[in-house]
Amino acid sequence: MTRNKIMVFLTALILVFAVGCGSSQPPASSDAGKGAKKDLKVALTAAPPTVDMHKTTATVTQQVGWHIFEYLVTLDANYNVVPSLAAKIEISPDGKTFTFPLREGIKFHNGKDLTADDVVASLLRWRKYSTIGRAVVAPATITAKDKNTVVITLPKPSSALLPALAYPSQGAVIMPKEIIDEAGDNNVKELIGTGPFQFVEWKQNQYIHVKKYAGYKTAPGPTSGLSGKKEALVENIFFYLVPDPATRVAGLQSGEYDTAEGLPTDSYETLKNDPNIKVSVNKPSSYISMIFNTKSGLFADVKKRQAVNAAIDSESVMKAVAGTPEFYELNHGLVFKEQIWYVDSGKEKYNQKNPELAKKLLAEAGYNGEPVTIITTRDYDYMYKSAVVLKDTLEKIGMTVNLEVYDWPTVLSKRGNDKLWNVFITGFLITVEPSQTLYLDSRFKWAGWYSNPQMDALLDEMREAPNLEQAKKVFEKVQTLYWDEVPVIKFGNLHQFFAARKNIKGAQYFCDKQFWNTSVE
Amino acid sequence: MVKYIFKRICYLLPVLAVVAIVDFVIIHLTPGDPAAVMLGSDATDADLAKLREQLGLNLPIYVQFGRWLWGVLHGNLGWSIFMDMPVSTAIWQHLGPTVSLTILAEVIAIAVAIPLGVAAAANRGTWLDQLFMTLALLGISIPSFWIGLNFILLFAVKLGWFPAAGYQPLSSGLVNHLKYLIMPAVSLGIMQGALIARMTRSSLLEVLNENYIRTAEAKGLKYWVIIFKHALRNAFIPILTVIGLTFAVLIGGAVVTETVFNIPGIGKLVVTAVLRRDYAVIQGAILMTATAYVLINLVIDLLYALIDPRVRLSK
Repeated sequence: MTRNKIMVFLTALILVFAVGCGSSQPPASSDAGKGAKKDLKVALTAAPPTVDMHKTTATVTQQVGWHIFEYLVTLDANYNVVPSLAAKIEISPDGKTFTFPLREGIKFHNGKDLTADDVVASLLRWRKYSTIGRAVVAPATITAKDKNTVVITLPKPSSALLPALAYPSQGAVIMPKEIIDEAGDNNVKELIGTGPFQFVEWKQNQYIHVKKYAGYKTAPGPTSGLSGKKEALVENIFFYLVPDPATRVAGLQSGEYDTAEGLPTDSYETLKNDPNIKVSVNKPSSYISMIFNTKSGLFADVKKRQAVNAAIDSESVMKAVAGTPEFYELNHGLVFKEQIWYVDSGKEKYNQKNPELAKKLLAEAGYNGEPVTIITTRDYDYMYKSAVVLKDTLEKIGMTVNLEVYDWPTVLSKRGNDKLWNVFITGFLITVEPSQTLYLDSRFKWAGWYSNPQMDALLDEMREAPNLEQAKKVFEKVQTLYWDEVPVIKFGNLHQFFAARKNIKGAQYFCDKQFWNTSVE
Repeated sequence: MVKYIFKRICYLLPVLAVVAIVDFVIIHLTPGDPAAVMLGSDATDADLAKLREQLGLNLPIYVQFGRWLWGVLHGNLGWSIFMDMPVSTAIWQHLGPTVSLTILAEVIAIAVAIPLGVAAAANRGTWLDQLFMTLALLGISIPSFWIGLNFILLFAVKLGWFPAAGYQPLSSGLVNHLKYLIMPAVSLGIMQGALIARMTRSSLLEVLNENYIRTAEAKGLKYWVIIFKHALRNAFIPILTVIGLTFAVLIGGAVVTETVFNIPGIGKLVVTAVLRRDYAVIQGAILMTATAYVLINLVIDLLYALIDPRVRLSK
C-alpha cells in the first residue's frame, strides 16, 4: 500500500463529510437581512408529539395547533361558549338539538371551502379520540343538514355539549374531510385548517414554521378570549423547540427568541430586571394535585386518603414549587375563581395542616407502616418538588415513603399499572365546565381509577341540568363529595410565568398564550 | 491496502450485531413507551392500549426485534413514529450540524493543544509547563456544558456577539454558519484540546529522551528543528489516537452541548428520541454511531501509516 492511496482514500472520506455538512437546510428564520418585524420567534419547551390536535392532550400541541386550526365554537374571555366557525348556536326548546349554521366564505388553507361535511367528519374523528368527546358526545348524532349547517342531536338535554366542543386541549378543531378520510387511524398527513396562520414546515428538533394565511376570514366582534377578531400581524411565526430552560432564558435575553414558554420561576428576577424584557404572571393557568391510586393498595381505603389530606400543608408545597407568592394561589376549587362555575363547597377540608388529626385517622384506618410509593419525575420541576415536600409531610405523620424518581415516559408507563404506585403528582389545566375533570368520572378510566356511582350520578345530573344555576347547585354537591373522598388532593393554583422582548405587542393569554393580534415592533 | 480496508470493514459486522442486540434489548426493557408520550398525560388506559396495538408495541419483544432486524438487513432502519419519516432520513438531516460541530471543535482543539503541549514539553519543569498543564487539567475537569452556559451568558447575553443558541447550515453562508457554531465548538474543543495537550506533552517527552534526539542535538541542530522535524512526528501516533477517539465520540453527538446550544445534531436527535421512546430512531442512531466509531478508527490506522512509514497495514 502506498501513501498516495491512503491520501486518495482519506480525501474521499473528507468529501463525504463535507457533503454531510452542506446538506442544504433553509435558514431557521427569514429575519436575516430583512429586518425583524415580519417574524415572531417563540421558544417552546419541547417538540409536540404531533400537531394533529385531535390525537393528543399534549399542551405543546395546543400551543402551536390553535394558530392553524379553529373550533366550531370557542370560549370568550368570560369562559362562555360562543360561535367561532359557526355563525350562531341554535338550541331547540327541549335542549336536545343543537344547530350550527356555518359562517360563509370560510376557506381552508388549501383553498377549499369549509362545508358542513368537513365539520361532521372532524367532530366524528375528534369524538373517536377525545376522552371528553366520547363521554359527552358519544350518544349524539352529528349530521350535515345542508352544505352549511351542522346538527347535533342528543337523546337527553346536555349542558356539557358546548363546553366539550369548545374545550381547547385535544380540541374539536375542524379539518377538511378529505384529509381526515386519508388519515384513517393515523395522524393527518397535512396540517390544513382555517386559522390565521398556515403550516409551512416542521424542521425536526429545530422549529415549526407557520405563516400568515392571506385568505383568513376572522370571526365578527372584538377579540375576547379565544373568540372574536383574530389577525396575523406578523408574516411568520417560528416555534423553536428549546428543551433546555437556561437556553430559553438566555435566548430571550440575547434576542434570539422574542418570547419563550415554560420559563423557570427562578429566572423571574433576572428577566424582570432586564431592560429589554417585559414579564407577566398569567392566571388562571393550572393547578397541582397529588393523585391517589384508589384501585388497589393503601389508598383504596378512603380513610387513609382523608388522613393524608388532613396532614397536607398546601402553602409549603406551593412555596417549594413556585418560589415566590406571585406565582401561586391557595384555593380549594376544582374550577378557578375567574370561572362562572366557581363554588365554595368543601373549602373546610382544604389545606388543613393538622398532623394530629392525620395520625388519628391513620390509626383508625389500621395503618401499620406499609410503604407509600410516590412516583415522580425531574422532567417537570413542579412534580419533583411537590413529591419531596409530600414525602416529608407523610413521614411526619408516621408513614413510610418510597420516593421513586424516573423520566417522564417511565412515570406515564408505570402509572398505568395499579400495582406499581400509590401516589403521583400532576398538574391540571383549566376545564371549561367541571364535568370535564378527568379524575372525577369513573367512566373516563383515568389513572387513579376513582369510582363512585354517587359521583357519576351527580356528574350526569350536572351535565343534564337545564341551566347553569341548577348545574352549579349540583356541582356544589360534586365538590363536597370530592373533598370528602379525596381521590386527588389539590395543592394549589400555579400561575404561568411569561416573558417577552419589549418590542412584542399584543400577545394574549387565555388558557395559554396566543400570538394572533401580536406584532413585532 | 484495499484488502486491509475490506478486512477492517468486515470486522464491523460482529460489532454492529452486538450493538444492535444490546441496544434493542436495553431500550425495550426500559419502562415507558411512545404511546403514552404521543397521547399526552390525560390519555386513558384504553386509548393507550389501542395505540400500542396500532404501533405493534404489544407484540413479543423477539417478534419486534425480528421485524426490525429484517428491515435493517434490507437497508431499512425503520420509521420514526414522531417525526413521521424514515430513520435514515432523520439521521441524515441531523448529521450535518454534528459533523460541522465536530470538525470545528477538533480544529480548535488541535490548533491550541499541540502548540501548548509542545511548549510544555520543551520547557519541562518550568513555570510555563506547570501553567499549561494546570490549564489542561482545568479543561478536562470543567464540564463542557458549564463552559457553554457561561459562554452564552457572557458572549450572547452580556456582549451580544454571538447568538445564544440555534443552528444555521453552511448553505446560509460560512460566516453565519460559524457564528452559531463557534461557542459550542470552543466549549467542546476545550475538553478535547486539554486531552490532546496532555498527550502531546507526555508523548513528546518520551521521544525527547531517545538517542537519536541526543544525536541531533550533538550535530548542532536548532532546538525547534529537532522538536518539530524529528521529535514531534515520532511522538504523533499516540496523539493521533487521542484525536481519533475524541473525534469518534463527538460524531456520536455531543449530547449535552447540543442540548444547551439547541443544535439539531445527532446528540439532540438521540436525547429527544430517548425522552419520547422513539425506538427506531434510538436504534438507528446508535448503529450509525457504532459504524462511525469503527470507520474513524480505521482512518486513524491509515493515518499511522501516513505518518510513520514503519507501520505496515497489510500485516
